[in-house]
Amino acid sequence: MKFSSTLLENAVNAFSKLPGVGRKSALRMVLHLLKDQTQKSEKIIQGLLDVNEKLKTCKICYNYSDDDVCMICSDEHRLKNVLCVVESIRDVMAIEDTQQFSGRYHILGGVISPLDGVGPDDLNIDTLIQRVRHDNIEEIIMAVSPSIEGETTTFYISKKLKPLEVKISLIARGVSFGGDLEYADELTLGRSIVSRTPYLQS
Amino acid sequence: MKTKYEIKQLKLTHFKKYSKLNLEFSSGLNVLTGKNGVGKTSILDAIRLLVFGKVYFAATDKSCLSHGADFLRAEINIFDNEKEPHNVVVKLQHGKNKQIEHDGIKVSKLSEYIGQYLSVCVSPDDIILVNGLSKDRREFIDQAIVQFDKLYTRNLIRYTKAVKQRNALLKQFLKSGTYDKSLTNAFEKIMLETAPYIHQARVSFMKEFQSYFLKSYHEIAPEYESVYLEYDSKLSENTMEELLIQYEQTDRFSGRSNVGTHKDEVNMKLNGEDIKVFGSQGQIKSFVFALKISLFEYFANKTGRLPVLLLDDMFDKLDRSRVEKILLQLNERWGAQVFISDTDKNRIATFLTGKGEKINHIHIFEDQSITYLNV
Ligand SMILES: [Zn+2]
Repeated sequence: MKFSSTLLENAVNAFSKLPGVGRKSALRMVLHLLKDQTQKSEKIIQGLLDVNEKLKTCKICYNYSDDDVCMICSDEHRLKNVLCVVESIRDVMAIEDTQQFSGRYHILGGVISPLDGVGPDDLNIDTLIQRVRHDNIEEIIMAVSPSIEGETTTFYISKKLKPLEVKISLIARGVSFGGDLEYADELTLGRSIVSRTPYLQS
Repeated sequence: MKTKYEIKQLKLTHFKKYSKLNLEFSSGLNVLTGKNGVGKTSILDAIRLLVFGKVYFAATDKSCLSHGADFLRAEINIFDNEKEPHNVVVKLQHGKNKQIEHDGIKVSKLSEYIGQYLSVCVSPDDIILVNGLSKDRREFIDQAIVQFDKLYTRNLIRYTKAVKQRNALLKQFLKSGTYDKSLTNAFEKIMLETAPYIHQARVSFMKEFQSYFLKSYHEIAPEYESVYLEYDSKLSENTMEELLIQYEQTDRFSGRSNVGTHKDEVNMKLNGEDIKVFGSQGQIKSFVFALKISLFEYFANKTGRLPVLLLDDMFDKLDRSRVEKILLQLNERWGAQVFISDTDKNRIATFLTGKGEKINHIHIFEDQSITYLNV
């Protein structure tokens, strides 16, 4: 791609660093914004600056939040004694879209994978155990990916929770979930949460 | 009657030395001739890639991309007994996952595709089954079983991943001087779930396969010699659970998993002794060839389906009368579709003329152009 302006080139380069955006689509986006009359660029820039400066992480569930505690955790209408444990924020959004779950969440931030250098200490596992211990949690729904790493994480957490005698369940198998939650269609994902099964400890 | 799959056409784009290639095959014997390095083996590998989902003769799938090309495409048309047409396309691209389409439908996991069509490959490098590592011998067993037992494939993948993760974990513990048993247990749980199935499947396979192997060996080497395959696994004596307990300290202080089905071995015996040590070159060649060729009959009887047979440069290994006998047998007894490469343009044709065999003879020139020399 040959540019007549380095300013244009810099803008295209910046956009093409985004995931899934090639140089051609980057150019299309930049040209679109240049022609726009509705201050789209300003809104995008302000939105990103706000996110960068003001966005917080909920200190209870680790979701993104405006305040110290997110809107889900501070919603008094939601069940306080059921926690759905997921890998990432995107999983929370996928489950929320189903409107089938009225409890709260706990975001682990990944799964245990020694090959990738991720151990239990790198994840929000200790705080999960603290929540179960102090917040009268009655049921934990594990909704992590059905991979070896996801299974191992579930097993490890269940061992750590054993003395606390909390009920642990798995969202129904056979549908893609966990890392793929955002791709599962809402209906099947919703059903898999409703028809969750108890996790059998061995 | 056994189900036979017949490959009719092969189309390649940017596959090794072929920027474009279209080939037509016959249902029986297909002979590929040409000088060393013209790309005979590449054609066999393209077929293997399409029917098995992975190459055999080359080191990796990616190494089959033509020099300087950014993608590779391979396609075959296959007909079954009912003359029902099937189509397989494999696409490879730098930085992307391999893509397989079967009858127009994208295959989401390789493990789901393996076993759709059966194949047996014979290469001069198979000598590593005797001379190589125990990993090579386990791979021989695994590549056989995965073609007819999907549950085995699933268990094997799970087991292998769990061992890799456990090894990484043990190494980290060793380095940091820590140890968290509940974490190693988490990966061991998967080993405990999967190892018994893997072990049992290997035991049954070795038991059933043995007689096919003996028969093949004696057909190739009629002189009286006793040969035997001995499956050697610690799981035959102890359960995986017992073994993990026994080896806990060893594993912990060596930083890896020292026991399990990933340590299984196949001992290859000739007259009661290790063939690697006591066998002559000729005996080893016959032994290895019998191992591979007997898979054909094993698959046929086990699954009711005929594998595609891909033989690379087999004249290197065996004398004319033996090869001739095997080829005629495969043809007469089974009507197998066979692909065979040879550097000698006329050898196979001379063998088989007057024996009523029709040969589809494809000759490849040094510029990768081809001609059909059918007789
Ligand atoms: Zn929250």
